[in-house]
Amino acid sequence: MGLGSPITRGPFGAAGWVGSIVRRMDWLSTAAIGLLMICGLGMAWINARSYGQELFDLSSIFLRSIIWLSLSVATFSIVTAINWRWIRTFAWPLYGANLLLLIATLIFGQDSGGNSRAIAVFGIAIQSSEIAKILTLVALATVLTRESAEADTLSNTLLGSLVVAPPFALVAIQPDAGTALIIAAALFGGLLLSGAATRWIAGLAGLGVLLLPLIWAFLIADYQKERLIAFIDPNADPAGPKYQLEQALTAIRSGGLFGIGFDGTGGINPLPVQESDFVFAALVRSFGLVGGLLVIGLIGLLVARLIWHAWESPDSFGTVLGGGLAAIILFQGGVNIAMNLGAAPITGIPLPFVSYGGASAISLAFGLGLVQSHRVHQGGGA
Amino acid sequence: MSSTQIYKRPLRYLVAAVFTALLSGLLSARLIAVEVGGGGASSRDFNTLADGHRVIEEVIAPPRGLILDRTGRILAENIATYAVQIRPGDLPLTIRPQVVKTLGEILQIDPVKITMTLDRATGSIWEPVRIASVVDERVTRFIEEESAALPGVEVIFEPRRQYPYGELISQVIGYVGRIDALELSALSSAGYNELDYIGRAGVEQSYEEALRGEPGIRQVEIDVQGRIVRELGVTKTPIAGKSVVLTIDIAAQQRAFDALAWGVKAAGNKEGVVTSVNPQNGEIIAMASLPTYDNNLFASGITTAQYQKYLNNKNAPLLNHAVGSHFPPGSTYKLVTYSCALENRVVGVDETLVTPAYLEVGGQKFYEWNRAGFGRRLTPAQGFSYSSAVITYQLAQRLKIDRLAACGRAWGFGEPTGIDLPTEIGGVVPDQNWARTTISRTLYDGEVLQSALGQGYDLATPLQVMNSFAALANGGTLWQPHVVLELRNPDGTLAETITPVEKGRVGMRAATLAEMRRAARLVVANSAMTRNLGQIPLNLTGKTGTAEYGVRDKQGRLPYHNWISGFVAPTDDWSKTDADFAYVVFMHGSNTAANAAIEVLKRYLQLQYDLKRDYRIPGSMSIGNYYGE
Repeated sequence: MGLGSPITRGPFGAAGWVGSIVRRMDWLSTAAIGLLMICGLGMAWINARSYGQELFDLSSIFLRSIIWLSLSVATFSIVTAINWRWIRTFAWPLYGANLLLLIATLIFGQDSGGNSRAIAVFGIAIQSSEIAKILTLVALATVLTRESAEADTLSNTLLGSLVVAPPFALVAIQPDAGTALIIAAALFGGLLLSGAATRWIAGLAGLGVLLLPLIWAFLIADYQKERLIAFIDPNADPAGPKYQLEQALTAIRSGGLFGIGFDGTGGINPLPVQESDFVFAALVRSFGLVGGLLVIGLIGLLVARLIWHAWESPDSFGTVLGGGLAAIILFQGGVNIAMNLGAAPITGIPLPFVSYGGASAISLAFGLGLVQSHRVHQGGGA
Repeated sequence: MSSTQIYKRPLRYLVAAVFTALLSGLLSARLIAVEVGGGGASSRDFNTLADGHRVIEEVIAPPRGLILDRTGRILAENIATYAVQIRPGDLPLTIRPQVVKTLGEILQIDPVKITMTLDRATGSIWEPVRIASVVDERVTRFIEEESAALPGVEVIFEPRRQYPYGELISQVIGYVGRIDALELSALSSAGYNELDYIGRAGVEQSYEEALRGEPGIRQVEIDVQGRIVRELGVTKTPIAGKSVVLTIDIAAQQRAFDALAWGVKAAGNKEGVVTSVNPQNGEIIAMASLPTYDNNLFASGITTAQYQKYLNNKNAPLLNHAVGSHFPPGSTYKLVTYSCALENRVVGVDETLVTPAYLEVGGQKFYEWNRAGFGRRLTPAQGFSYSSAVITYQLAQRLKIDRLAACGRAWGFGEPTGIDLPTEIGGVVPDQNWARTTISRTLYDGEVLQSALGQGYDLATPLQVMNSFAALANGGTLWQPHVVLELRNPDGTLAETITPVEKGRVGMRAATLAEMRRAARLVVANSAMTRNLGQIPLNLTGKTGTAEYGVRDKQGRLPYHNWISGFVAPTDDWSKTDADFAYVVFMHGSNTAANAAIEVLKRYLQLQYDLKRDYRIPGSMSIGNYYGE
């Protein structure tokens, strides 16, 4: 089968073990992840200065980014090193714990930007929806890889949908329509690449379309409707999203070819939520067209490598995981950048690793680490 | 090896890969389009907003440039002040009386006055109404703390002009004032708005364009009522005005001012001018005019009563008398008559002329100023030093009026000198043409004689008189006097040097001018006329003047002004043209026992040249009946 012999602690001991991991890892995607994290760190530095923060104060976005990204690198490395099969055995407890966290968020959730998305754990606001999208994907990959699974059966598609439905619903009523859509995209990507029958995927999509009016009526908050209207209707109230968008476009235009660099950012007016939603506009302002194209390229490369991993994978777990993660990152990156460019409605979807956010970075690192683990620890059956 | 059935469908992978590539490509294309095209539908639609909201461009006033003296001391600067205003639209009528009462207590203004101000305001209810200017910062903090109880009351920051030297140099500096409707309609295209300040006098007015800088523009969104909903960003940052550096050193100004202030106090005449200039380039050294005014009062919003007081003062404190008033120049004008006669060779340098007690012209007796004559024949230079009227009459008779007037104009009389200060006037040089158009007849012979004396219809500003002696000193060049040396950028770098402009040349032979310089020295040296003036250890020249004006008193005497103008040369070689100091002293209506201007000049020279000895003669400033010269 695929990628050589199973890893064992061979004659070279621990060094040989690390060496074989390093050899089997996908270094293109790892490099893309690393560069995106560096972009995130650079933007955190600029944003902290732009908001007038002390760089090395514990409240500064910069120091916090260093901490979160370090934890993300650690998560990525550890998960890569551990055999994915062992992690898979925790898929259901993690899934269950995540559902509990989502329910807790609904009950005790803190107001973070107008809705109850975060919950405080040990004083740190955790965005449970960010964790949900990865853990749901892991559970999905697990359920689609079970002993009796047959990819193109109705039961397989239904089972996958049933696993995704509870976290989807819990996230949607937070309300966080953006993340809910990401979870749906993960399901879609996983099913598509793991070979689910076209008719069932189409049926699922049709169901989603039928549910749209209901979602609009009950699950989309007023401010989200306003954003959508602002995107569709050019005469919408310029007080809100329209203004943010105009500022983002102005910032992008001011970037030019190479941007105004690190130095010019000290006295500049911050964009609205430039550490997350509008991080791309702020990035282009600082690093210009070149910086913007680099980030688009990195996202594209990462997605392409994940699709390649799904294609190469000898088992359904890798296919679903790769396809789902590809969908998540493509959706997040695409929507976030398109929104910054005025080509998509404003949603609170972060740009992977570049936007500031601990939960998002760590859970993505977890998912991507699992993909690496799946490459590294080949053989021995699924 | 896996028990799971995997169906890899290559087409789906292809579609996924192509979709990823396509999306990346589209996003890149869009990024480039936004960057290059400035685009997107959103930008275009921004001008047509819902609910009648409009995006308008608002002017951001640039910080006004400073005015500095020649050594860099600040003469006009911008300080921060606070003003209190009410936006009527934000103040519900039901609670207005309470709010007005509270605000009145805080500001110590009669609430009735505030109510009246609000009721009198025209325009949109969202337009702020000014309640108080230059409010103490502590008071504004109090208002801000009470803001919940004072809806619609706003404290705004306002830069204001401050003049550290006030009335010492206010005549030159001028002041700024709120733009009025007429100016606004003329200047709105230059970016002025109704809240703008504009230079109203002096350098503030004449260098308005440089001092003002370039206004910035910001986009704001306004609703139907014209109320600003939100600021959308600055599209053009304002550029601060340039600083104006004067040719005047404030210490030199102080010396001229002090000498003049002493003079008008001693003589009790209230009005006068002391000005000096560098004859080599037209740079004004000092320019004092009394009475003066405090331009700081204008900067902080002058009260109507104070303004009326200035306007009603018959000595016109708001006017810079050096450039804005003209008077009969008296015998200082003999520079024109004598040089004209020598130049036209109607008299020889060594020719002697008779000095009887009077000359009879057209059946009328024109007396020598001492009514006795000098009892001997005098050369033109000697006649000049005695300020002989009868010799002047004889020269005028030989010259005729039109030739005399042409010489007057050649010396710069009859039109403004072109100094870089506003409201300069040109004086009058009468000739037959002027007479025909102005008084509808030709001049009588007697009037011609008076014109040769700087009396009658002759009128000149102190600056013109000084400029004629400056031209004498430098060999015949009429520089445009200027009070501004250079303009500096906000960062202190040189922006522009004001180069001296030659307004014209006197156009007389060097020998004529040298003879007149020698004659002007004789005036100072003639102790019979100017007493101890010649003892001052300077190569001082000058010509005194006493000019009658106005209405005769009961004894048939006219009030009179005193003049002296001349220059100080480095050496007593009068063929040279290298003097760097020319002056004029004018004492309006002095009526003193001796020439008051001479006494003021002595004081000025003592201060200017740091002379130990005081040459002023006690008693010469007492009220007298001095019909000197």
